[in-house]
Amino acid sequence: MRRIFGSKIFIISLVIILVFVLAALTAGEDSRLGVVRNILTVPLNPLQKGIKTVSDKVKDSVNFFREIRTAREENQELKKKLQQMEHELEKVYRLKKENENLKKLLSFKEQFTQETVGCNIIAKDSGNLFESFTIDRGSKDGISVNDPVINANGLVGRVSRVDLLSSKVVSIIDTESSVSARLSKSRDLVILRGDAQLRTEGLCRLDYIPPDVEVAVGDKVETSGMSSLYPKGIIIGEIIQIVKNEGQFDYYAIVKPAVDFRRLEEVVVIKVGAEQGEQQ
Amino acid sequence: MVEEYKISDKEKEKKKLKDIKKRYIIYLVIIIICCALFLRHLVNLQIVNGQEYLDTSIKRIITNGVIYANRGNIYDRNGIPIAGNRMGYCIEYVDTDLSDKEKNEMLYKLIKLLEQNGDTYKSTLRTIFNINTFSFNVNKEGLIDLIGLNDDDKAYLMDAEPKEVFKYMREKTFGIDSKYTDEEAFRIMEFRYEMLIKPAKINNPLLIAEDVTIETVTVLEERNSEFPGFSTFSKPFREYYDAEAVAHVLGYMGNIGRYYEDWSQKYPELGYTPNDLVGVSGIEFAFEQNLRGVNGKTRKEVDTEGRLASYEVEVAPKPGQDIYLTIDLNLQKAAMDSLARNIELIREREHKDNYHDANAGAVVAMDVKTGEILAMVSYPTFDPSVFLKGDYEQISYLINHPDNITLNRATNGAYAPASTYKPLVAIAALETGVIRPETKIYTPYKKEIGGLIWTNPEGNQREINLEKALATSSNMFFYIIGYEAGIDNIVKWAKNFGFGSKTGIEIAESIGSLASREFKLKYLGEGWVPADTCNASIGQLYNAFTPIQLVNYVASIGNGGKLYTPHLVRKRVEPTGEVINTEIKYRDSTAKESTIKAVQKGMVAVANSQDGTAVEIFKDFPFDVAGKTGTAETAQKGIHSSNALFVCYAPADDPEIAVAVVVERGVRGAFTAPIAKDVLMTYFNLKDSAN
Repeated sequence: MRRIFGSKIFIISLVIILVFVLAALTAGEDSRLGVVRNILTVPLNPLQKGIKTVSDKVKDSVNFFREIRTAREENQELKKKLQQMEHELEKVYRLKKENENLKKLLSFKEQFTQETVGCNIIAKDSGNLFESFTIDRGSKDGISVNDPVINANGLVGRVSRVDLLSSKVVSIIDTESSVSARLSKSRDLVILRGDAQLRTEGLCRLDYIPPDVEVAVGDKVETSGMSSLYPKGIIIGEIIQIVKNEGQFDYYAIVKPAVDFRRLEEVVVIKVGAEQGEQQ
Repeated sequence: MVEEYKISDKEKEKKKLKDIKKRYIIYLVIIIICCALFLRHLVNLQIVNGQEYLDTSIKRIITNGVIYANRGNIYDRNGIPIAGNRMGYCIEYVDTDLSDKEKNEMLYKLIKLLEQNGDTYKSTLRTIFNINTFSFNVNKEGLIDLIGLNDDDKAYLMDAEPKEVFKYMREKTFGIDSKYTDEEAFRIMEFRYEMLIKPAKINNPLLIAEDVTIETVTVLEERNSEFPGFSTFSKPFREYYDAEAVAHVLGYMGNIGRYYEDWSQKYPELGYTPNDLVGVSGIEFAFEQNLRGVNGKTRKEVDTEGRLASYEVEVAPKPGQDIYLTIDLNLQKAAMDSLARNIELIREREHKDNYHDANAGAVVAMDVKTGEILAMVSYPTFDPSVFLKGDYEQISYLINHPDNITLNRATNGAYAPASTYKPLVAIAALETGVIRPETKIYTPYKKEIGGLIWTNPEGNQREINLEKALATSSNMFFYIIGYEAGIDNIVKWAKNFGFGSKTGIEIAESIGSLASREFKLKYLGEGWVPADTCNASIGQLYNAFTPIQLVNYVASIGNGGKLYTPHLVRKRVEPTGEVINTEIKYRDSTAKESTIKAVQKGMVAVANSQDGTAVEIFKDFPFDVAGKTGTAETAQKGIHSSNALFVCYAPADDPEIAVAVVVERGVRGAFTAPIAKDVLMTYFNLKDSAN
């Protein structure tokens, strides 16, 4: 009971009721009540003061509540702003990275005499990896079948089909893909193939390593430029495992591509086909 | 009216709205249904049957592949490689459902590619039909049976001109576009014909070309979408390193179907296919089953176009055994150089009996204590790699050459031994008791023996012993002692020293022939006459020995009478590292020590006494050489020079090596001694002080 009587809410309610009663009493200009008012007013004056103090206090607390509300709103707004800022920052960071990538790509692209076109990936075949996917540029942009596809890290694959506004790309981890490659160290020619087993891990098989050629884990592999398809010297990846089957003459190695086929966003198509077409 | 109109207008509006709403609902329902259908289909495609569709879209077939076993390497006695393997690439084909037009276009592209890189391909059609003359090389029946689309056509084609057959094949059988020239069309047909002979199934692809360049492989691999059905694989290919000097020992390899017409009776059982190369001569032939190894098997996953998706080893291949020869490649080369050089010199040399026609010869050097052949050369020689490349024009040039280039004269050339036979006759005489080592015999210029008058080219030598007779190569002395010993005793001892039979060397060898009663009766149907014995005693008549027989015989004189089995393989090494050494075998000639000693003494005198026939040649040597010259008159006397021979062993007092040299039409035996000298100098690492 004491807790109820002592609580702020009880006091406030009592005061409010009292004020209402008093207000009601003093509402009309009733002379009859003038006496009463006077009677009441005079002795009640100190009380009134007290009430004023109380009501001030009430006002204060009401204001306090009101301020809390605005603060909350302000807080929410600031939070939103912060989020926005963070978002912006992220965007800036992403743009910065993209810029770096593009710069890298640009310098990379400069190696090629052929014209290049940047593309976004708009769809990919089922599976976790970008084994084959669709890009947002097509024959309208001068892309032809067999055009090599790269990104800032290295060789991605080649164009396998071209439509007017999009193209399909077969990546080097797809079993349809074969790339003439060169061991960066020994300069020996080998063939990089997609392997049905290895591709699920984003890896490739490097076939036809002659028995007298020594390779080591970590050796780099690049395009040979032997055929008209892939320009010379594009990084493919590095050897992560050497497989020598018992009794087999030549052997193979497993290559981890420089391109991460789990995450691919932009690629660049080197318009080899277009140039050849012009030459013809 | 106005009011009415207003009302009706409102109603109309309402109605219209209602209609629109209705239509909207209908559309909505349709769209929803469509979406639902799409969704259902999508779910069906992606989730319900997703895996199945994915599998079908990348349809793969599990089949078996071959892992070719590595053929064993061949090394010289010091481990210098002579034959090994290198990696090569092959093209195979699996039939796809392309139209004739597409197929022909693809093949035309392939032809251009192969041509550009200088690659060759298999063509059966070319052996049947000659495109240059438009004629058939062989019976056309088989071809018509394959290309004729029905029985009526076949009947028509049998009577048709070759040109019409070509036209039919081009247009009807293969549907080749008229834009191609006849030559181009023919080349497309070559491939199409192979595909007709052996349908290219996914589990049994058709081999299109072997040992193509990496350039061709690169294009076929990278542009595989343009060449559906074609794929490449790697395989070890035989390779010879600087093998010209050792060509006849090494031998050569050839296409099994081409070299062995009846190959299908024996080889398929052993796992050969008609495209396989197989040893045809020399070590490659003799040790085919040791060198060959056993192919392995893969379990591979291929797509419908034959492209390899992945593979794993099911049965590991077992490489062949490596072979270490007894040949010292350094000595071998020295022997070959010297033989070639001296044949040239002999041809140019001024001599009354020289017809300047020396052109061939052989040298064999053998370890007298083991029978190991240290050098075995035959001239003229060839590059055995030619046989690996399968260029049949070059191969047929070598095989059909009038100089018998591919003949190993060291084992298959049989030559009259002439005076090199005299030590053997001496052995027979000594063993029979006709003479003792120091017996002196009156050796006149002229003497009647066995009913014939014989003359001595050395003139009247008066009383000489065996040593002097051997040193001067006195014909009269050997007529006398040979006649005394009798042909049967000579033949007995000749056989004891390995003549008239194979030496047992691993590679093919000729028996030669031994002048004997049996031989004359068997091959001439005539009886032996006493004069025959005189002729046989100086190594003429029907005596014809191989250089390997000669070296074996001279080595046994050197080592005191043991006939080792000459051999070319020192050891074989299994891929596991296990070594199989060749067992050293010998048999005793049964000649007495005193006999051998007496003959040795005579042979030392040949190269060392004042009147020895080869005395000048070895005079700077730090040890004595025991030898014997031989000059054999051939049937073509007066047209060609005589064959020249020299046999020797050294050092005379403790022999290590025996050498036999034969130069066809080499004029004089002594002319060939410098070749033996070069071999000895290389073997003993001597410097030529004369030069």
